[in-house]
Amino acid sequence: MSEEFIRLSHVSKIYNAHQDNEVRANDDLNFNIKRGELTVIVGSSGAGKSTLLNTLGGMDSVSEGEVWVNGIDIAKFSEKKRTTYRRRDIGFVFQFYNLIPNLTALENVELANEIAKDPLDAKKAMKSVGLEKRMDNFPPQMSGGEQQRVAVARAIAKNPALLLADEPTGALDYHTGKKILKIFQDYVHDTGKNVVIVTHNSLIKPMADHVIEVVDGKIKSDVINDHKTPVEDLEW
Amino acid sequence: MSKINLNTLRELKSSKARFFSVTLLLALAVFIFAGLKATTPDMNQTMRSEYDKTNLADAQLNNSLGFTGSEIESIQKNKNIKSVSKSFQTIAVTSNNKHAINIISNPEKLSKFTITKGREPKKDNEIILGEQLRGDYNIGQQIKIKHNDDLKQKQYKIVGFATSSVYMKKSNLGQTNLGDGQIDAFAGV
Ligand SMILES: Nc1ncnc2c1ncn2[C@@H]1O[C@H](COP(=O)(O)OP(=O)(O)OP(=O)(O)O)[C@@H](O)[C@H]1O
Ligand SMILES: [Mg+2]
Repeated sequence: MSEEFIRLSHVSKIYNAHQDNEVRANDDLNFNIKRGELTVIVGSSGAGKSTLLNTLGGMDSVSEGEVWVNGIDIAKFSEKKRTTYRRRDIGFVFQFYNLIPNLTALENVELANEIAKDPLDAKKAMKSVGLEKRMDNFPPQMSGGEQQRVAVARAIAKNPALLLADEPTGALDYHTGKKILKIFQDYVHDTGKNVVIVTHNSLIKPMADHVIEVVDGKIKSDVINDHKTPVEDLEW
Repeated sequence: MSKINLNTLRELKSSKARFFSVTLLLALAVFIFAGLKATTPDMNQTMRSEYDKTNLADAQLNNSLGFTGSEIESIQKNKNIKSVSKSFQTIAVTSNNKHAINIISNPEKLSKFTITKGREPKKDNEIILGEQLRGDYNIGQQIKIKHNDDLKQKQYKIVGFATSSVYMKKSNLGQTNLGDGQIDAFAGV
């Protein structure tokens, strides 16, 4: 359990470098994440959370630094290698869902399964997020929260080595939100794989093995949680 | 079906008109470029076969005073020349002043006419007209000609129509100082 899975070393992401409107979205980040950890990254809006998650998911390249995942520095990856990495190793729940409007909820999940190497059953994944009755609906016919849950099902069904979720409960009510968080908790518990959840809701922190707080593109605190609370007992 | 194809199919279904127009546009472009590409060899081939069929002369020597027998002989003797064909031509104006016609005595071996209607002239008073005049005269009709020193006849009977590989263009057969200055047609006698 104590094996290192992710290591970031002096990672910076700078938008519009050397211009008047230069933005240091991530500024010299350093942290380690162990294998089988559920990590929560908290921070206020604009802190650079999504940027960090995009880096981990191979969605974006970094400006500086090293991003070691499972013994490989993905910061050195070419565009093509990053695509392969995303397909094979990453499950991603986007902050804005990114479902394909022309495919039904179930087909969206199956789409991810087509490119994964060891996927879970798409229908079971839909059931686990409580959407077994909405499988044949198209995304525009669904509520925001329902779409978000499809996105979660899609990421989970890929059975990825690293599951990244950007505000996975942002559009959900208390009970549904807890249900989704429970799915992530079970995923880590059952498969021993890694989940990283980004949120601005710091009340989620107690369920994590590891909490990283980001403020203004920098890491403010990096805490290992030895006495984590099961999702069922969380209150917010 | 893979999901990516399914997505494409549904995308097309929801924008049929756009799909149809783009397809049509593509088809049109292909049509045009295929046409442009195929036209050159097509035209070349048509010309080639037409020239071969009518045995178009490689060169034509003109002399307004005519050639003497010894001149023709010396040309015929040249070993680079395979075949020589003698012909006589003069520009005549119809008596109604309407048409200036380049009348050519039938070139038998080279630059032959291609008869499109009727037959070739056999008697001295018969004439075959160029296609240019097809709309103005009919077979069997007489065509009257203004006095011309080079022609024995004053009027000819039209026996047919023809094209000539020498005059591939339908118009602009050359200039003359007769009529309106423009040669309207050729004719064979
Ligand atoms: N493509 C871009 N070009 C310029 N600046 C960008 C770009 N993407 C992000 N930024 C800036 O980087 C900073 C961090 O953005 P990021 O999306 O990571 O924030 P966040 O922590 O996810 O915020 P939120 O909680 O609102 O989603 C912001 O100030 C943002 O304006
Ligand atoms: Mg964000």
